Amino acid sequence: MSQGPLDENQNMIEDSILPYILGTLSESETASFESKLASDNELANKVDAARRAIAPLNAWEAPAPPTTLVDNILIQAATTTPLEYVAASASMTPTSQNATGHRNRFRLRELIAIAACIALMVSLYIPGMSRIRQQQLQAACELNMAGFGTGVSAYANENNGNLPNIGASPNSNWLNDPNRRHLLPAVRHRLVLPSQLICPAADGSIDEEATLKNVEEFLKRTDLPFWAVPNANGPVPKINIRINVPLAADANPLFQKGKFHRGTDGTLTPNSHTHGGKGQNVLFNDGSIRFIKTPVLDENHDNIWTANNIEDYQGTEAQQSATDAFLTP
Amino acid sequence: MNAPTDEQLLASHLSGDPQAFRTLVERHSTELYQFVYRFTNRKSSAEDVVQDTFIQVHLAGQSFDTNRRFKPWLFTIAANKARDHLRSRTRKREVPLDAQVGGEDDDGQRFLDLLSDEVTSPTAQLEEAEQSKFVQQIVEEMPAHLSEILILAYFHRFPYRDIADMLDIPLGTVKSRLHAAVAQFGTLYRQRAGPESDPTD
Repeated sequence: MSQGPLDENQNMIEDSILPYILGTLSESETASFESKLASDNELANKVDAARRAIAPLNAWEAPAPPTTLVDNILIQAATTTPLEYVAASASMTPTSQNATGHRNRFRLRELIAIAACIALMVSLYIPGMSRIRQQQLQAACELNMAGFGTGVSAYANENNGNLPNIGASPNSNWLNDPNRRHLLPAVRHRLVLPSQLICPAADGSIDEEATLKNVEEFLKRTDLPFWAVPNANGPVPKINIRINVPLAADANPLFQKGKFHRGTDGTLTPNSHTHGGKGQNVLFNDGSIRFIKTPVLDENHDNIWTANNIEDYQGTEAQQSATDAFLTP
Repeated sequence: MNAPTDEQLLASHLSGDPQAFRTLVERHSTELYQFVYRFTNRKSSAEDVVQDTFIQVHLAGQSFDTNRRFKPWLFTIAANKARDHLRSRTRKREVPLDAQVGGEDDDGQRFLDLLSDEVTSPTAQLEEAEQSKFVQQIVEEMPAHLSEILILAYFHRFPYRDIADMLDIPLGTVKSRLHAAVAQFGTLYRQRAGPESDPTD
C-alpha cells in the first residue's frame, strides 16, 4: 500500500528526530524541526522517548589512547615502504574459508595484493616513485633526529640542563677531533643510539652493539649529523626551549679538509646531499625538527654551516653567542 | 591564520611535507582510537587498527578523492579494518533479539513504535565505571552492523550522508539501521537494567 503525502511528511519529520537529538541537522533544518516541535505534543513525546532511549550511551567511556600511539604511527609510517606493507597485508590475509563463508572475497583480496606487488615492482622504474621514496626517507630521517633530540634532552635533564660536552682539549680543535665528539657521553650512556645518528637516506644499517664498543671511532664518521660548535670560552651549553637555535643537522659533505666548499651554484648555501640536495633536517634547541630548504635561517638570516661566512677554517671558530648557529662535523 | 584543513594537510603530505602527516595523526588519532575501541572493545585491537589505518593513509593518500572530505574517508578505512579485525577474532554472537527490528529494510518496525514510555532511567546504583561497562556489554551484544552505526552516529556525530558513504549503503538504510540500533539498544538496556533498578517492573 502506497503512502500518502501526509504520511511521507510525517515520516520525514520522524526521520529527523535522531539527527535533531544528535545535532547533525543543518541550522535551517533544526529551526524547521523546532518550529514543528513547539506545536506538536506527540512529536515532543517521541523526541523525549528517543532522547531517553539513547541517554545511557553517554555513560560509555572510551579510554585515551596510549601516549606512544602518535610516535608509533609516525615511526611505522617512516619505515614502511609500500612493498613491505602490501607483503605484510598479504601474509595476514586468511587463506581458508572463514566463518561467514566469504572465500571469494579473500581470493579477490589476495589477487589485489599480488597485483599491487607487481604494480609496485614495475613502478620502481618510474621516476615518480623516487620522489615518494625520498619523502619517506626524509620523514624517517626526521624521526631518527627526533630520537636523537630526545636523547640529548634526556642527557641534559640528568645533568642540570647541560648538553653533552666533553670540553676542549689544549692541543686539539674540531678539525682534528670532530666536534661531534661532545656526543660521546650521551651515546655511551645509550641515551642517543648510534643508529639515530645515521640518516636512513644515507644507507645506514649498522651493528649497534659493535658500534657501542668503539663510540669514539664511530663519531669520526663523515656521514653523521653536524653538531653545534660550543663556545669554547662560554659555559657548557644548556638545553633551552626558549632559544630556537640549531643543535644538529644532516651532514654536509661540502665541508672537508678545513674548507667549506661552495655549492654548484657558487654560493655558500649548498644543501646537504643526503636528501637529494633539496634541504636538510635540522634539530633545534627546543626539540623541534624542521626540514629547511636552504641553510640560511629565516629568523636571523644566519647560515647554519658557516661562522661569519668564512670558507677556510682553523678548527677554533666557535659560536659567537648563545643564538648563533654554527654546525660542523 | 586558520589552521589548515585535513584535506590541505593531506595534499601537503603528498607533496612531501612530513609535518603535515604528523598533524593529521595528532588531530585524529584520539577520536579514531576511541571509535575503534568502542567497536572492538579491546585496547590492543584499537591500537593496531588505528596504526594500520594511518599507515594506509600514508601509503595510499594518492588515491584519496579530493572531492570527498578526509575524516569520513579516514573512518571508512578504520571501520573496514576494525571489521576485519573482528572477523579474525572469534566471531561475537550475532543473534538479533528481534529479527524485524534488526532488519535493514524500511519496512521493518520503526524504533519509535517499539519505545514504550516505560523506558527506565539509568540505574542509579551503578557507579560510573560499572555503568560504562554495563553499556559497553549491551552494545557488544548487538549485531556489528547495528553497533557500528550507533557508534558513528552517537559518539562521532556523523551526518546520515557521511555514514552512507562510509558504510557504502543507501541513505534509507542508514536511517532504518540507526533506528533499529537505537530501538535494540533501548530494549536491551530496559531488559538488563530494569529488574535491578525497579524490582516491580
